[in-house]
Amino acid sequence: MSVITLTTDAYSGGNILAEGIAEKMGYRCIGDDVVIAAAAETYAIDKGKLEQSLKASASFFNSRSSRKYRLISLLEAVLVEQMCQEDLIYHGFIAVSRIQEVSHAIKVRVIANAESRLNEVIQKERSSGMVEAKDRIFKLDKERQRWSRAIYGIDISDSALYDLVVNIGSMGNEDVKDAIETIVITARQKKFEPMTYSVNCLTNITLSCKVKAAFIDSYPKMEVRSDKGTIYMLVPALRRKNQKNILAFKNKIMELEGVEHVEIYVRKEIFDDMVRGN
Amino acid sequence: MKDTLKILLIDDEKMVGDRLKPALAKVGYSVETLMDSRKALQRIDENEFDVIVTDIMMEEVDGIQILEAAMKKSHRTRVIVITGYANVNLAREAMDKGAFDIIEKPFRPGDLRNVITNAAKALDIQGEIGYQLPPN
Repeated sequence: MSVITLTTDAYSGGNILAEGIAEKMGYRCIGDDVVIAAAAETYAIDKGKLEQSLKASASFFNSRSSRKYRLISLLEAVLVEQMCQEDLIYHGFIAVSRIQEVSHAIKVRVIANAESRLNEVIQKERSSGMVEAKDRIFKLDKERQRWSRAIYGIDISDSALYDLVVNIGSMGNEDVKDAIETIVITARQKKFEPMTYSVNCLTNITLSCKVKAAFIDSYPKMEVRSDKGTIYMLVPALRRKNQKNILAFKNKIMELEGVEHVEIYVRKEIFDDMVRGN
Repeated sequence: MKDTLKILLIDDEKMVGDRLKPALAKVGYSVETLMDSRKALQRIDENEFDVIVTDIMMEEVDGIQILEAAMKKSHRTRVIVITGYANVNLAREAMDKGAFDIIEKPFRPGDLRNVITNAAKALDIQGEIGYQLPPN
C-alpha cells in the first residue's frame, strides 16, 4: 500500500514522469481522469460536473452553495480508498493536504523551466505563439492556486507541503530519466515504508472521507474525523426537526462499512448565543 | 525443537507491562518487562532479544535511543515502537533507524500480538531460527 503523490504545474511533464515511476516501482498509476471516472460510477454523478469541480472558475467559487465541497468530497473518498488498496502513484492535486500525516505517502512536487512549459503548450495546443502560450500557463497556474486556497486553504506550490521537490529542468529525455531516478531512490527509503500506524492513519482518513461523501448533502458544513472505526462528527447547530432525527442519522452512518461507533457533536454558534443573550 | 521467541518489553507505565506480558506469555512467548529504560539499555547490551517492544516517551533514555542501541547490538532484532505521541516525523525517524513497526497507543493486546507474529515470521523467513508461532 505504498503511495506516491506527484503534483506538477500544467505542461510540466507530470504524466510521463508518473508513468515512468510507476513502471520502475511496479505501482499502479492514476490521474484525475481515473479518479473522476471512478467517482462518477460510485456515486452515480455526471463526469462533467466532477471535472468542473477541479477548475476554479470565478462563478464556481463565488457560488455560496456547497456544491464544490460536495463534489470534491466524492473525489477524495474515491482517491483515498484507492490509496488503501494497492501500491499507487497518483498524479494530481486532490487530497494532497489531507494525507500529510500519512508517513508512507510520499508527497512529491515537480517543477519545470518556464521556457520548456511554453514549448509544451505551443506543441500540444498548437498555440500561435509565445504570448498566447504564456497567457495560458499564467491562467492555469492562477486557477490551480485559487482552487487549492478555496478548497484546502493551502498554496499548492508551497514546498513545505512536500517531501521532495524536483526541478525537471528542460524536460528532455535525460532530465526525465534523472527525475524518475531521484524519486524512485527516495521512495525506496525505509522511512517511507507502510507500517501499522501509517496504514491506520490512511484507513481513518478513508473512512472520514466516505462518511463525508455520503452525508454532505444533509450537512454541508460538517466536519468528520474517524479513529479505528469510531466516527466523530461535528455538525452545526441542529434545527429542532433535525434533532429528532439524530438517532436515525447515527443509524444511517452505522450502516457504512467499517463504522463501529458514531459520536455526533453539535457546534454552538456564537451568533445564536448572542441572540439568546448568553 | 523450536525456540521460544524472546521479547523485551519496555514501558515506564507499569500498567502497560502488567497488561501485555500475560497476553504475550499466553501464546508461548518469553517476555521480560522493564520500566526503567536505562536498565533496558544494559539488558540489550547483555542479551540478544528477538523482539523489543518499546515506548518512546520515557525519562532519561527514550525509545529512539533504545531503538538505536538495539540496532547497534544486532540488526536481526525486530524493534516495535509503541507510542501515544505518534506523528509523521516520529514514524519516519523510527523507521529510518530500523524500527520494524510502529503502533499508536491505545491498542488492543491482539494488535501487538499480530505485529509480533509478523516480526517472528520475518525472522523465520531469513532462515535464522525456527520459531514456534502462536496458533491463530
